[in-house]
Amino acid sequence: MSQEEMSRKDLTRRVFIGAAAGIGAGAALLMEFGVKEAKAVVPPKKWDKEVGVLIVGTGASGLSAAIEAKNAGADVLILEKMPFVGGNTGVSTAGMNAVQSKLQKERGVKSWTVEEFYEWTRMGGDYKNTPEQVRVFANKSGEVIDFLAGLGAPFHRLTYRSQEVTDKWGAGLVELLVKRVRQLKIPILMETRVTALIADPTALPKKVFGLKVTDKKGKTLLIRAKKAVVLATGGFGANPDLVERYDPTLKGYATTNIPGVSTGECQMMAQSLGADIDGINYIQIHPTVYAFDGKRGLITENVRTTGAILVNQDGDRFVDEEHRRDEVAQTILKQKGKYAYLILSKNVYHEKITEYIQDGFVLQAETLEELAQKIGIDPAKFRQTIEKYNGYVEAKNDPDFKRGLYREMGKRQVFPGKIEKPPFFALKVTPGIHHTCGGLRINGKGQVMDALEGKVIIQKLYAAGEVIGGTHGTNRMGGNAITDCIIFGRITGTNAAAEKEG
Amino acid sequence: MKKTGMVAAVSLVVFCVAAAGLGGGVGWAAPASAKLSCTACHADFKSVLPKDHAPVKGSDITACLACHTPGNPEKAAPNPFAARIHRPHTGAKAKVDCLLCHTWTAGKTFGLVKQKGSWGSPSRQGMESLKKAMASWSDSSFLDALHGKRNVTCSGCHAKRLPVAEDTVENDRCLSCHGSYEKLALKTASAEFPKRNPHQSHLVALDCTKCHAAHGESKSYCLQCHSNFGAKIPGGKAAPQEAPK
Repeated sequence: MSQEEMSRKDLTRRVFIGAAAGIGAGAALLMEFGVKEAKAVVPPKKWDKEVGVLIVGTGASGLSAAIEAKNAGADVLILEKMPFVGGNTGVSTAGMNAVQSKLQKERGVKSWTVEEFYEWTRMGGDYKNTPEQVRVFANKSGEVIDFLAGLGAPFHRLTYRSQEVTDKWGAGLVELLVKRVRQLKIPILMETRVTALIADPTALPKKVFGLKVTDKKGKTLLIRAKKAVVLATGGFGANPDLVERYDPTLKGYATTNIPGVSTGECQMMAQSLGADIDGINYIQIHPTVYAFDGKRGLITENVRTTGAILVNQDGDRFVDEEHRRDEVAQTILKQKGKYAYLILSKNVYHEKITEYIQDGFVLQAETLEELAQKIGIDPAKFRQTIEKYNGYVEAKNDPDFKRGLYREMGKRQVFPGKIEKPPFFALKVTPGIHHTCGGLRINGKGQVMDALEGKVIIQKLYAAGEVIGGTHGTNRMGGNAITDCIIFGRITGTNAAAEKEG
Repeated sequence: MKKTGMVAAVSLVVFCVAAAGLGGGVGWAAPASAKLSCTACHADFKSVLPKDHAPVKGSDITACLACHTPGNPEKAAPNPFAARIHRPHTGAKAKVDCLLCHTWTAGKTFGLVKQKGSWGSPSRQGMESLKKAMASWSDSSFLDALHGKRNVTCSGCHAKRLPVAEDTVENDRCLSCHGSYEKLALKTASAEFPKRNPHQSHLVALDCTKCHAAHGESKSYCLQCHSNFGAKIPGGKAAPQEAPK
């Protein structure tokens, strides 16, 4: 008998025992879907806590869901396993894509159309994303701007598509959302980790009752969610085992995710209960991560959109630096040593570089030759590459790689500036695990779907944010994640609050 | 200190049980002998009192408590008398037993001699960890001693109840004296790295205790990923080792 068959038999036996106990108590058959095992349990006579909407995670999606659920009148509780709020949202730049907002209109900022944004997102995901879901995403993106503006977001940079919420990166966004969560008096249980999903898998459709958690002091609590559980738990980019399970080619890569945050256990619990998945093998690698000398840090995409170029060890450019993430990453992996250097100068500078200098990621020099020597590239060749590129900037035409053309949907190339004023900077970069584009399959209400039927929901289980699939297809376009988190966070919050108790 | 202290504590407990007998006594009532009274070290209280302090008569803590009413305020606030009386007596080298002033029945009560009320029920193990914490509070280089110097005693952080080993201090308690996160961020702002501030980072509302340990070395949580993060942290260095005498 194979191990698989054995465990199935074991499971069946336990279900039977549990069923007997359940029938005896005249209640539903409950099972715990934990990380390592699923087992039948006797329905608790008394839960340690009962709430209306129980939300897991305090990133952009969890906090947005909490705000909307509370606004809709539900009694809300948020769980956070870390000792801080915000998860990976806090380390994002919170540069978010959104179009056709009232705020853009008010400020006279020309916006992309919803159709352009829809097409761009689908194209970036190689059309493997779910059309209806991307439609919701594109339609509602403008509302996100207005929602955040209503919470006091300054939006100091507003453009046709890419928006900056505050001048404090992701931390500014988290602070903004947390401030409203506190005003609404929504409690957050910190350092409280979900250990099992408590559900009745025999109900038609399957039904979630609550969560088993371990609190800050190590005590086990059973928390009942009378209306619904919302998983806003992020992806699994910080779980190397799961990354390797779903994409073996990514074994051994560094991650850009905060260690311990996005480890995917709740997603696996939902899958164990029978949740459907969508695009789970599409794991995005970010092209530019510093992961050398025992140090690790993401080098934001904004460094490239500010005008940095990428050169390999031969001193050559090799890609349109502003191309989609998977393209840039795969091209870097084809270079010698699977790394490249981002090159900038004083006039083509992103303010994050200051922090990267403190982190010890940056080499700098007063001349191009000196910088070339520091990174071990032939100085004459290096100068030649830079001068050639500066010529392209001058002519606004990059015959080698058509800089920015893909990102601008073939309409124009993009040249932020020449690399010309000292000091010059170099950052060694290699791709790293960034975003799990796939995840749980949801419907338009944010309800998690059952894998067996495909069209049947799992009752009282909602999901939003990186834990869901469907929006990004094979490749998430930079700036789409925060928008996705807030749109579906709000949708799940509103719909979870509208559930009947029981 | 430890060995002597332990012996004294054990003998006191033994004596306490014997003295209280089976009459429902809850703990130690009075110093066992002159050796264990204040006068053993302080023949004259005058030498340890401020110049303008009224004369004090007596041989134990009750002499002080008449005016310095005992209490463990719920509010986080300095408690100068409690701090002044403990600081020189509970340090690693002080060799003064807790039970000179306190009453204790393991697992049941903990109070003050000749005073009503109990603030907790430390077990033998709990008592040992209290002693350790008090020693650190008196004269370590950690955050507890920094609070001690500002007259903040146990209740300043741990509220009314006697602290227990698994206690943690919630952010609100710290912020009630130290002001908001925003205020703290102003103190730790760096001109060189304006967007890198331990009190205003992407770890929003991080538990204070993740960086600031009270009875041990404080260490910035940031360092787990940002290994070059150089911000100084109070109580951040291990207590200097005393040279053996």
